[in-house]
Formats: sequence, C-alpha cells, structure tokens
Amino acid sequence: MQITLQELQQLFPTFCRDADCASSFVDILEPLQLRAGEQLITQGERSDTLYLVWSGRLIQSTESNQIKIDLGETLPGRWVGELGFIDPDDAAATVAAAEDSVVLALTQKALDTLLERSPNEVSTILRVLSLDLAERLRVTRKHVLSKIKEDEYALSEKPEKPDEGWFSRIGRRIVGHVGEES
Amino acid sequence: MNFSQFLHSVPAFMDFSESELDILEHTLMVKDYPEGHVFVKEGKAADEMYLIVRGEVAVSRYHDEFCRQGVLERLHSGELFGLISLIDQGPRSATCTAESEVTVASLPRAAFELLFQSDAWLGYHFQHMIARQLVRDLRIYTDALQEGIAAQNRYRMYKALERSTTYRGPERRDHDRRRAGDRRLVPPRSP
Repeated sequence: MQITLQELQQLFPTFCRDADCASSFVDILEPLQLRAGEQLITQGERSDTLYLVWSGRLIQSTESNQIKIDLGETLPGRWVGELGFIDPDDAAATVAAAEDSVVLALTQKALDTLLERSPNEVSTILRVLSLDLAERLRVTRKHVLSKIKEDEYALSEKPEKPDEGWFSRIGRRIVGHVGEES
Repeated sequence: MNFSQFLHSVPAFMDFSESELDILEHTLMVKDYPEGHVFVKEGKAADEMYLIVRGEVAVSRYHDEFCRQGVLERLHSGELFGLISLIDQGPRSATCTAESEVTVASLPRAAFELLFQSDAWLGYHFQHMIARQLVRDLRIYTDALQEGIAAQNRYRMYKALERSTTYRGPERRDHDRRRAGDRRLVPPRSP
C-alpha cells in the first residue's frame, strides 16, 4: 500500500508541518489493514503503539463488570492508542474496525529510530498529542462538573441507575469525541 | 548545595544530560517569594513552569462540585508545577500558593519555546514530561468511569473522582510513582 507525502500531510497536517517532517514521518509508519470486526487494541492488554486512522472507521468500547459501553467512532485523520503510546500501560478500551480499514502504526521501536535521527520530530508528535489531550481533559472536566451539579451531588447521594448512554457520553469526551450531544 | 548541584538532584531531570542541565541552570529564573504568594490561579491562564528550590507550595482546587475548597497536595523542594502551561494556554485547573517563604525557579513559555528551538533533546525531554502528566490526569477519569460502569451507579464514579482529586497524601503519591515505575516513551538518552 502506497502512502504519498501529500496525502499524509492532508490527513494529518498537525503531525506533518512541512515536507521534510512528512517525509521523516512516513518512513517510520507501518500500514496495517484491518477487516471489519477485527480488533486492533484489546482492553486489559498492554498497549504502546499509536495508530493513525488512514481509511475506514474504528469503534471504541470499554467494559467493566461485564457491562459494555460504547465510546464512539474514530474516523480518518484521528488516532487511537495515544495514552499507551506516551505512557505504556494496559489498555482501558477496546478498539476494533467497524468496516475494512487501514491504520498507520507508529511503534516504540520506530519512534526510537526517529528519536535518534531527529528529536525535534518526536517532540512535534508529542506536542500534537499533548495539545489534544489537554483539550480532552478540559472538556471532560467541564462535562463531568456539569453532571455533578445537575445531580446536586453535594446535597444528596441517591444511588440511582443512570439513563442509558450516560456513561457513554462521558466516555466519549474522555476519548476525544468532543462536541457530542450531551 | 549550589543551584547546579540542586538541578542534578531533581528527579524530573534525571534523564537530562550535563549540557541540558547547564542550559537549564542559565535559563531558569530563581527568586524568593513570601508566604501566601499565588503562582497559579485556578481558572486563569498561566504561562510559566515552576520548580521549587526551597519551601512548600500547596496545590488546591475549589471543589465547586463537592462544595468545598481542598488542598490536593503539598509540593516540596525538587518538585515541578505548572508544567502544562508550557504548551497549553487554557485556564489552569488548580491554584498553587506558597505555604512558607519559598525559593522558586521559573521558566516562562517564551523561554521554553526558545529552548525547544535551540536544543532538540532538551525540548524533547520537556515535551515528554508534559505528555506523561496529561496521560496520568486523563487516566484518573478513565479509572473513575470504570468504577461507575461496574456499579451502574454514577455516584460511584463521582466518589472515585473525589478520591483521586482530593488530597493526595504520601501514600497516594507513592502509588502514582510506583505505577509510573520506570516506563518511558523510549529509553532515556541524550547526545
């Protein structure tokens, strides 16, 4: 599968600020083709690779106590796996292909290679991810705060089961699906 | 201990090379502040990172949601705060106040940008520190969400958040450090 610099810059402009940067970046990315339904990241398993969505559609979900929550879709131009990529740990969510998809994998080993060549490029990648994370954190905090206020948490503690989708709406903000209807 | 020796002893800078520490020594602005001085105010933008050289700084947040003001943690010599200000211009999520007379070294965002451009490895190390801090902050929410989902009870999620965002005593910080372990994005290296 061939990825052109132009296409890469078009789809991921923040990672590829110029042609040289895009060229370094494309060298270390590994295309992966996923069939519909195939899992890319499995909750509870160690995750340390960043995946840029090139084509298709990925769906994220999380499960706790055998209850599964939908966390929305990730489309071309976005990415998954960034938390483990920055700070490797067990994945908090499962990511699977909703349809035949192609992702570009950036492994730790590839990043090590790029770091040797150009620490600036790695810093750029980290900065792009960090700015996105900072915004997600802000949106999540604001949304959760509004929910807590609505529930008048400080005044009473009524252990009611929330309506369907309540956890999903919070989860979507955490994973960066900003602007979802609350 | 002089300032150079102090920088060598700061855990956050353990991956930095001699030349990077030398650059930092000449870039950081060291100043004394009185007790009560507010470095960062919750809800306001900030554009400096701080390193405590001497004294104690309290990190607090007004828990509007839990209807009380709370100290999240107390920072001591060798600890950093305001790190995320170096790349993010949004409002800050906590207030940082000197609990005693303090000596603090600061790095404004403009100076950080210059460092970033002039020394690639130094820029990388800082950027990595910032990214990891953000991941850890976001994981507080993912962990709390898991608790809420498991119990199918949103108050369990609120409780988990409250535990994570209220006072982090020595036990919790040790837990955070153990969880962080020695995971790194890549093995520490410098030219």
